[in-house]
Amino acid sequence: MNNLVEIVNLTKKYGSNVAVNNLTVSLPKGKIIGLLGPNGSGKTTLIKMLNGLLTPTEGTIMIDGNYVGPATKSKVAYLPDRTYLTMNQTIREILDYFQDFYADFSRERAEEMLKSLGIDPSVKMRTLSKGTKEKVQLILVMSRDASLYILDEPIAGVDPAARDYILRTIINNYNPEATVLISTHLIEDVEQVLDEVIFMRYGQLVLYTSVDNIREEKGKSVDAYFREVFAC
Amino acid sequence: MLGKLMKYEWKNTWKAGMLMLLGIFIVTVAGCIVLQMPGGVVSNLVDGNEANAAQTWLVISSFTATLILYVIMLLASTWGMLIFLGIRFYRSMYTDEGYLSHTLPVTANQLFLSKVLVSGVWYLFIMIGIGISIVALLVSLMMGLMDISELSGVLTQYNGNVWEFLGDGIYELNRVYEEQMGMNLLHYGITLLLTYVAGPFITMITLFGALTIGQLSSKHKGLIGILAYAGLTILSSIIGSTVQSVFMFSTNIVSSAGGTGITTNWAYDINVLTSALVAAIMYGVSYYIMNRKLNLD
Repeated sequence: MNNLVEIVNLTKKYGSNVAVNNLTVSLPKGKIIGLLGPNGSGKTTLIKMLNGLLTPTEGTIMIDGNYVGPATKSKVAYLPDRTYLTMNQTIREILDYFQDFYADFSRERAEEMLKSLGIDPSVKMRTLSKGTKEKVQLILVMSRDASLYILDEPIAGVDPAARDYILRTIINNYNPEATVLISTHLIEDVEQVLDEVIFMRYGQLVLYTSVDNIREEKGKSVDAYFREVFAC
Repeated sequence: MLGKLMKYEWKNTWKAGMLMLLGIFIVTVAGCIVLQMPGGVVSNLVDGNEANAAQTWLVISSFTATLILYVIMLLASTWGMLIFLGIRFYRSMYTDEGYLSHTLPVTANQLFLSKVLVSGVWYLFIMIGIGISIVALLVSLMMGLMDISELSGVLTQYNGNVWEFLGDGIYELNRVYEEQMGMNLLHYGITLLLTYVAGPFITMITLFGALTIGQLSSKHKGLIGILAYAGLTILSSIIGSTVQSVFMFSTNIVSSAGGTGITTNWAYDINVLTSALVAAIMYGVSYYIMNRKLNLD
């Protein structure tokens, strides 16, 4: 079995509102997959369920043969769409924290990346700009040798130069045996690095195919095809 | 992993805990100084002896200020620590920081237990600090009121053996408790000690459990958690007091009918057991919510 993630009949309801609707999909190992869809399509809900931050209403998720729990959390490196680090800690203290809890965390790699960006590990998180905080979080996540990297809007809210840096960091640091799931609105910026794409709408799977397939069969870029599929 | 979680929980709480203990220490020292006024000023006043107006004003104003400051400090340290630990728990579990806590490769039980243990220890330290503070203030007050030579006189009867003196005192106290209140002092002492040691942990489980229950709501999760805590505390007190009253009432009937068993102790035990039962239920509920109903915004 070459699939890393198996999602079967997954549903998440908030009262009468269905955020993810009976989703069944399998994600293979060793691919960079774009999770694409308009606002409210259920991307973040799906990501939160993969990380155990939301409990599914129905259905199951298995990652590397395990249901979501401590075993999967030790293999999943997650970059949320918000700052989740404690603001009154220094970067060095946060490195200690990651080193203590994640066996696959490479402190050397993290320190190298921080050094290359000129970020002083002795400063407190609260003193950093929004963009730098995002870079620190990305460095922490990409310094792990995880089986699955889940990146929720990793390039939103940063300038184009920072976007390039972030994408380079992802490409240069992820474990080639691992899968990277990237959720984003900025398709044009990320499609160069994607192998496959998942289109979601109203919590359902619209399309799951390879980027090459879209280019060859549709004769369009992913961004152009996305605009066509989700045209208002 | 539990040890690592506790290590970081300790790192994040020790400053606030030490600050509270320092506050208690400062107020205690100030209180002891005021209550040990030199020159027999206090005893003169208590005995109704003549004292000049300046002395009287000094004593009354110092006593009042000390008492007010002391009560404020006690409330600030207990409630302040409770609020700090509650906010700390909520922030680290159910706000943005919860995204990190809940994606650590640890079980929900380890996560919850680490917070209960470290917070409970800090709350216990605060309770011990307050206990020592009260004893220190009482000793100071007694030393201000008592003539030391009287105490020396009493001790002379025991050839200076303080332990024998204390033993006789406790024996006499136990006799009075048994005869007049139907209580065994040793049993009561053990109950009191258990309450003192287990109480902070029970409080933390109840508080954290209530805040976790708040997560079941789709809106105003924090507010509902606080209301759940208030409700649970009141409910626990009502159940405890009711059971205690019923037990004491039936004890009186048994006593008046010629019963000899010391059952008043059980009434106090039931109060402790009620709190422990509420905490056990809250622990189970929290575990269930964190495992099966977690929904971070």
